[in-house]
Amino acid sequence: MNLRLASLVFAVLTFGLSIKQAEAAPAQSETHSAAVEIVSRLIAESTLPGFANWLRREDIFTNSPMRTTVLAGSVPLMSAIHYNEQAAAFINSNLIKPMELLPTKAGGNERQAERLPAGAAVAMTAWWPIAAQGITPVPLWDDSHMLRRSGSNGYLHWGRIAVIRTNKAAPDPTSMTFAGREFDAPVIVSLDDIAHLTLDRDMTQRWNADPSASKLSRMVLGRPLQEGDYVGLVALHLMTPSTKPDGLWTTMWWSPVDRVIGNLGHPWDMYTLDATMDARYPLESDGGNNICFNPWLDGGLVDSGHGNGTQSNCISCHARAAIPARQFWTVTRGPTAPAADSKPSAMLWSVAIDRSSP
Amino acid sequence: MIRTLRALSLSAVAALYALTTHAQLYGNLIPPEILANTNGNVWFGAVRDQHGGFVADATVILDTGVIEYVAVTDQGGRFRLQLPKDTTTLQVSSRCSHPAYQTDRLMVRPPRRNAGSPVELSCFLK
Repeated sequence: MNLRLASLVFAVLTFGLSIKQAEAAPAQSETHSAAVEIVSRLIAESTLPGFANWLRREDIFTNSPMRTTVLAGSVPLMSAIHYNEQAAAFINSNLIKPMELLPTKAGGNERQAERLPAGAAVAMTAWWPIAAQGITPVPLWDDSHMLRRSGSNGYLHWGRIAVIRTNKAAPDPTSMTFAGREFDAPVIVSLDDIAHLTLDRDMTQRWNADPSASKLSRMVLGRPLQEGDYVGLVALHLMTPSTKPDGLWTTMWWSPVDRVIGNLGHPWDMYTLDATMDARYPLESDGGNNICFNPWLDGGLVDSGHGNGTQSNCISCHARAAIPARQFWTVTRGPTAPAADSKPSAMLWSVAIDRSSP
Repeated sequence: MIRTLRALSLSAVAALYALTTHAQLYGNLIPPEILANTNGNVWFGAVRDQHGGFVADATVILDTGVIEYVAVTDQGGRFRLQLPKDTTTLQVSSRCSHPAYQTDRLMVRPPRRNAGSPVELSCFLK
């Protein structure tokens, strides 16, 4: 009887604690509104889609070039990281130092290196090559498709496809082959329906020198990129500080069929958006921690024991970013923290990986 | 002792599997240190057209049922991939393609004496 009473008291206390924590966490609608506001501002400032006035990774890490490579068998993507001025200044002042000068997590000024300051923003973009003249297939995320429960749900596994037409004289295809699979009734759109950039000589050379981008172009177009081709923005991660300690994490992807943003003008009305400010709340329908993922950037990640990339959370992953870089591929949701003997890198994996390279 | 060795070897296999199966997407963000020691079962081969000529920039995809591995052929029409050590030939479904061609047929030649590696894949496009 006493045991039963103790269990009851424990359950009531736990429930009360959960309610209190949930009240402190932002509602999903509040998070979504904040994300839409930030994206609207970037569009109004003409920052999107190319982040032209922001710094690139190679601009920041000039003294220590990224020593990265591409696994021979990896599914390719054209990705880039962009830092606004405030973020770049913060990284230069606080994170680009010899490792021994950085505070450890156990050190006194850990907060300084753990969080980006107000006004700072970091973005990661993913692009898809589009032929200057012709029709180009683009996979479309479909969460009603036969998803793998623990394996990869990268774009090669998706069940739908769109075709971007840049040659108006070409007839609409009734089916389209992409990467060895045939798709019936593709969604046919024009170039104006996706945020895109036209490749000049410099951009073409830069992308073709990137092994992953070169591989993607040869897979999609059957050749390297050429001047005059286009790259379409298929995915965007945006990390900004907010009133919440872990910041606001906004993620968008091109979705001409299932659009949910609205009121951002064309072609931004062809995108879907998700956002989070908390690794735990609001809880999902399964009672588990909050999920916020991008199909292009996270969908391919396989299960680490807590579900695959479709059940992940931006903050859960980035909260582990620290020097030396560990657990990069661990996929999870819910609160996490860097290892006790590591040096937090403001939730930026790009910094953690760069500073961990010898 | 044996139990410890078995645990260590299982950990090593698990680590290798994790490295190779998690190395998806994120383009060029993967640090080389993470990719060290990823020796696995080798799949190699070539892609040819109907005249027997080698096709450059053709895509070869090996799907283990858990994850896809992708190679694009070099200028000689050849490719080489490594799959996790514990992946058997029968588990893998393969396909190849090039935007300018249609796939004709694929031939998979398994390794000798039930070895896991190497596997030769020949792809013919038309």
